[in-house]
Amino acid sequence: MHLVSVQDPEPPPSALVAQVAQGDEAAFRMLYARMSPAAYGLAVRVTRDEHMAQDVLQEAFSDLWAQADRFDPAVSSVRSWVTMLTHRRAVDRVRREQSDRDRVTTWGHSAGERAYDSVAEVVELRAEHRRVRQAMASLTDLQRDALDLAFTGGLTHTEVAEQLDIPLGTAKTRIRDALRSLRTSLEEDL
Amino acid sequence: MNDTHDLLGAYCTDALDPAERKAFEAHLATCDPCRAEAAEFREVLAAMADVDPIRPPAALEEAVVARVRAGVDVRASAPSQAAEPTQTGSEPITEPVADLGEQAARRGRRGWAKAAPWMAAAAAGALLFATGVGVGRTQVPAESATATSAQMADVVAVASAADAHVMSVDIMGTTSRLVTSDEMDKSVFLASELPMPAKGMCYQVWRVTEDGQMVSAGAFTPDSDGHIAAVLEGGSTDVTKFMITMEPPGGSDHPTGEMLGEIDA
Repeated sequence: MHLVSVQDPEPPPSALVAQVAQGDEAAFRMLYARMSPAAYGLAVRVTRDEHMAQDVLQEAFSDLWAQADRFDPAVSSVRSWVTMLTHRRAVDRVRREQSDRDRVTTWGHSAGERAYDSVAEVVELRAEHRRVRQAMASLTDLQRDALDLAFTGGLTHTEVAEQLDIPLGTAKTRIRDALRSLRTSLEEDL
Repeated sequence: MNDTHDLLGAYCTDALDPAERKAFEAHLATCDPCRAEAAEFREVLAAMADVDPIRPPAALEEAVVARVRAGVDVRASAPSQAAEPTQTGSEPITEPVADLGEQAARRGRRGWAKAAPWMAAAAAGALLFATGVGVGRTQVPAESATATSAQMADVVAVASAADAHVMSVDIMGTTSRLVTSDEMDKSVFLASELPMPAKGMCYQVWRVTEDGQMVSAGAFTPDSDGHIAAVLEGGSTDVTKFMITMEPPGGSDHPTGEMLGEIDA
């Protein structure tokens, strides 16, 4: 045992997922600590209901646990995987329980405390947040509305078309073009 | 076909209806450019999702852990369920493809209902001990899978209660957690590496009330891996602290064993 030791830095998320696949609860808790604020923020925005968002978070992390053995870091980042699991559960939830409720919302409208507290993390994230916000701002209003209704509003592209009073084909290309534009903006900044 | 490629954005934002999704996934399986672009789109969406993080309530972590613990044996006993969403979405996803109504009904049966075959199968499972042994002092045999999953549902209900409060306690060098809910008038004891007590003995949690009384909240035995998720009686109302002792089978009326841990309420 070393008398003086530097605490090991936390393993990268993909290594934690590999440990979770072996049933490692401590690794699962670490992943949860790191990934749950973004996932919960997303779930709250999509469901617009804290209780539903909490159910969604539980479902998404249960999925993470159950599917960790099939996660391939070559295919996607852990963050995008968790986002996908969470968004899918959130959308399922609002579609089955809130079909009558007006779910139209505006991107960026959210409440709640900021969830990160390490200074380095905050600085890094703020830089990315700024890039993302700038990228969002560079979209046309039409692109942003379509993406917002689909991703944050949880609407189907058919509903997006109805909501925006545009042809179905236009709705789907707008969502795609919005994502392409964001990808290009974010790539340029990196 | 151009039309199909166009659906990529809607697919990645979960904006397709089930039939469209199924059709698009068939396309995705054969279209390398679409798969590559889907991965990029998902990174963009993850960056968007990260912009407004909200810290979830602390007790939710315990609810999630309790929930996945219940699923441990599901995974072990039924490893190749194709019904889960996949990482890339390029493999068939049977669940989201189903009719939404049917899917909702099925989703409703997931979770604890899913624990039933596991419960029946896993005699050595943590939760069989956890929930079968002792709510209160009475040894409650795990009579049926239904009753047991109902108790497991209690674990999650307490841990995700609006007023759930999480406390940690060190017991023989391991960390256990006690989650209390005054609203539900219940608590949950969770541990993942609690040493197995001496043969036949069990752990017992005591509520020390404001007038100095020691009231049993329940007794339990972890499984051989040290897992336990036990529902206990009472929340933290009128309680100054919780104490944990080791007691003879079935628990005691008053603490007789050494005090192994205590938590200020």
